[in-house]
Amino acid sequence: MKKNILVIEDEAILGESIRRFLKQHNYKVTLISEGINGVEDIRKENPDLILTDLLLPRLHGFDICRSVKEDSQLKEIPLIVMTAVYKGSIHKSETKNLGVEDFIEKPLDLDVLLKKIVKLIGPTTPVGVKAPPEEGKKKEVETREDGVVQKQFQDLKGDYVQQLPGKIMELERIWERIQRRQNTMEHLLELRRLVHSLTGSGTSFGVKEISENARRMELLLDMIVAEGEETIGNRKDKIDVLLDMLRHHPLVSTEMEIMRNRD
Amino acid sequence: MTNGMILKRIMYVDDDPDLQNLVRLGLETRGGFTVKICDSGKQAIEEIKDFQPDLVILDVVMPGMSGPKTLEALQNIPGIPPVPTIFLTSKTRRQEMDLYKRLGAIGVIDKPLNPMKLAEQLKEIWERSSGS
Repeated sequence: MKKNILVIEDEAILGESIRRFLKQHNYKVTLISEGINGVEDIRKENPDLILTDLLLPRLHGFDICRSVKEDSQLKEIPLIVMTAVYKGSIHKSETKNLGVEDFIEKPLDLDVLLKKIVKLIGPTTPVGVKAPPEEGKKKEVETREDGVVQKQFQDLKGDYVQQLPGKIMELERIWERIQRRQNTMEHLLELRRLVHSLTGSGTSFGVKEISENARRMELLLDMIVAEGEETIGNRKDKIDVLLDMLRHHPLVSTEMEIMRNRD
Repeated sequence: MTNGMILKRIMYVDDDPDLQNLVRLGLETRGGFTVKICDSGKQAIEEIKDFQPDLVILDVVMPGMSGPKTLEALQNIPGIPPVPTIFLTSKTRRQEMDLYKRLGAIGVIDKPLNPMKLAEQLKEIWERSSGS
C-alpha cells in the first residue's frame, strides 16, 4: 500500500511540483493549497507524514504543528516544516520546540526532501526509481498534467498583467530621476535592468507590443550606458515616445490612471 | 559533451522573478526535473558545489555579473568539473551565439519562453550535445 503524504502549501506551483515529484516516487500525495481549519482536516486524510509550509491562509503552520503534536491520535505522525532560508534559523528552533521531526528550507531541493521523507517513513519504492505510469493511462496522465500546467501558466500570466501598470510607473519614476541627474548612471543601469526584464517576460507572457517597445528602449539605454550619460539628451525624445507607448497600452493605461488617482 | 548522462538536475540563473516562475513551471512541474533557481551569477557560484547540477541555464543579461562572465567563473572553480551550459537570450542578441559556443555553451534558447515546450527544447539540445 502506498504511503500517504499530506502536503499543506498555498503556493500553487510549488505545491504542484512537490505533488508531482513525490508521486513519481510512488507516494500517495494529498495537496491542500487553501490551508486548513484544524486537526479534523488532517484526521480525515490519515497521512503517514505531513509536510507543511508555515505562512498559510487560515491556520498558521506553527499552529498546525502544535495541534498535531498535542493530539493523542496524531502526535506520532512525522512532520516536516518548510520555510524561507532567511527565516530558517529562527523557525528551526521554534518548530523543534514543538516536537517537529524535521525541517527544510525554501527554495526546496526536492532530492533533499525525498531523503528526509525516506528517513522518516521509508520508501514506497527503492529511492531514485520512478514508478512508471500504469499501462494505458500514460496519455491520459500527460493530457491532464498539460491541463494543470496550462492553468498555472494562465494564473502566472494574470499575475504578470496585474503587475504591469506598477512596473511602467516605476520606469517613469526612474526616468524622471535620470533627467534630474540624480545618481544618473546607477539609475540608468536600474532602468535598463527593468526594461530588459519587460523585454523578455513580455514576449514570454504574450504581451508582444510591450516587449517590443521595451526592447527598443533597452537598445537606446544600452547606447547611453556605452557612450556616457552626456548622450541622454540625444535619446530623450525617443525614450519619451516609447515610455508613452508603454503607458498607453490597453493592459496598462486604465489601471495606471486608477493608481495615480489613488496616490 | 554531456557524455550520455541523464539530465535530472538543472540550475537556472536569472534575476527576473517572472521568468523564474515560468521556468519552474516548465521544468519542474511539467518536465519533472529538479530545479535550483539562482538570482545572480554570484549565487550560482556559491551554490553549484552543493547542488551539483547536470546542466546550468544562464540568462545573458544580468546586473552585476553577466551570463558569459558567470560561465567563465563557474568553469574556474577548483574541484568542480565544467557543467554543460545553455544560454537564454533574446533574438536581438542571437548574433552572439558563436561567442557563447566558444565560451563552452552547448546551446542557446531564445526568448520567448514557452513552459509547455521548454523541457523538450532542453532535452533536444542535451541529446544533440550527447551525440556530438
